Amino acid sequence: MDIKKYIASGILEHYVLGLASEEEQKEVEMYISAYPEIKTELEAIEVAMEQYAQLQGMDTPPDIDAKINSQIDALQKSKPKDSGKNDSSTFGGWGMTLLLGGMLLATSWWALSNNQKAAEEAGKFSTLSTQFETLQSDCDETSKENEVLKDKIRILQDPDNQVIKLSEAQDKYPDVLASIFFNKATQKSYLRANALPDIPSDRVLQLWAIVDGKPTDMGLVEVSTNSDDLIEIPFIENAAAFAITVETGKNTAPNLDELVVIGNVTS
Amino acid sequence: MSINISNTEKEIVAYLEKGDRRAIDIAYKNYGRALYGIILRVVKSGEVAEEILQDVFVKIWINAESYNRSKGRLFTWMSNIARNASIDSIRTARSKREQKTTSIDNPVYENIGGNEEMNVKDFALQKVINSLDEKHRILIDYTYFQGYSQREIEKELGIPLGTVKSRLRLAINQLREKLNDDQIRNLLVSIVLFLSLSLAQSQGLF
Repeated sequence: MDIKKYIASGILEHYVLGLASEEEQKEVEMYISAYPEIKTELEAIEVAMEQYAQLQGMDTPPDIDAKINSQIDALQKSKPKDSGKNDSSTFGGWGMTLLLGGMLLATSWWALSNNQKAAEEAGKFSTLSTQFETLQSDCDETSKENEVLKDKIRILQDPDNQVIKLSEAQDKYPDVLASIFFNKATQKSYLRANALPDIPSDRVLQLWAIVDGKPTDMGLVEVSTNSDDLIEIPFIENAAAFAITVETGKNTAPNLDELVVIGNVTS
Repeated sequence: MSINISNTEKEIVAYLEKGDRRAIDIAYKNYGRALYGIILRVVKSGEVAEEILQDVFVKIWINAESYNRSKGRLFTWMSNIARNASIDSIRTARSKREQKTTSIDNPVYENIGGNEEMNVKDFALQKVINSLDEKHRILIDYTYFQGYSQREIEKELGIPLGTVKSRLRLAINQLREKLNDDQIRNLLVSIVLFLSLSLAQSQGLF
């Protein structure tokens, strides 16, 4: 368990803001009882949000507290009430309080003026750390995207690749296009949906391979149209053609009336 | 104010555990404004917010035993009740009529005003808010004060779902920094004020 990484993930902030899923909540609750560092961090986040909320507080309309109390009264008529408000804090000894307070403040002033430089440095340091964290997270995102792009290029540039163009099968679905990158050397194949039709939400696109003259189910095409994503699909060595149809659900045999694109494997 | 937070909280929790109604009185005094602020920013109507504020305190009373100290601070629990009640209310209202698009960028700051204490707070708030990066402030406000879900943030701000968490952490880190800065500054101001007063006194100016 990498505590620093866990904290940096932002999950604690989500927990405080009530954005965490039930599972995440349970996980956080388990970790805060197990790791004091996580508990401390959580507290700090909670205090900050509480202060922010207090600063942004709004004056409440009058008599709300009375209304709340009468609502609660109505809820528990049977139960004995004890809402005594005997909050008699003493305001005596003001002079002493002031004197002591003065001494305390003078001492703090002394300490603070000595420490001010250190505090300034600490402030700079913490600003820099936040900036660093921001840059780090931007950098992480960029390198993740970069990895994905590099993968794509690697797949596309492989000289063993065979590109199979799946084109318009009937007038019903005009201007459609998909491609399959078929690589016998690596035994992998990928689908790219260059332009597939928008289909109603109760329909699916299903991919088929024609093997020995028979259609074989290759699964649903879970990709948004016009996407340049490369989706890995099952590799079928002796496929003679590929096709995509519109189905009402994942089917065992293709609905040929709804053929969208088709393309032959040239050997 | 912040020094007393933990004591107030302990007091309220102790009363809640005993089923003592003073819990609600103290909680209302200390957190009523903050919770009302959250509710008002979500529902954007004083009338609705007033109703919800009452419900929230009744809920706090009824569900007192579901609050568990080891799971977090009291205010976090209460603010979640307030936010959820507010979101429920606008969802119900939304399903009843087509919701008109409201600008969420400028919540009701201008309503703040009035007595002296308010203006001091207003000033402190403005300072904290002004010092936050705009994108960070919006992210915090969307989630904390508007009750946006991760998906809604993704849609509204164009932040990928995967990075909402880390962005929010950065935003709250910045807020934490600013709040701390601000406390140091306030402390210094009050010390200087005190010293000049006592100096004046010692020189027989009073």
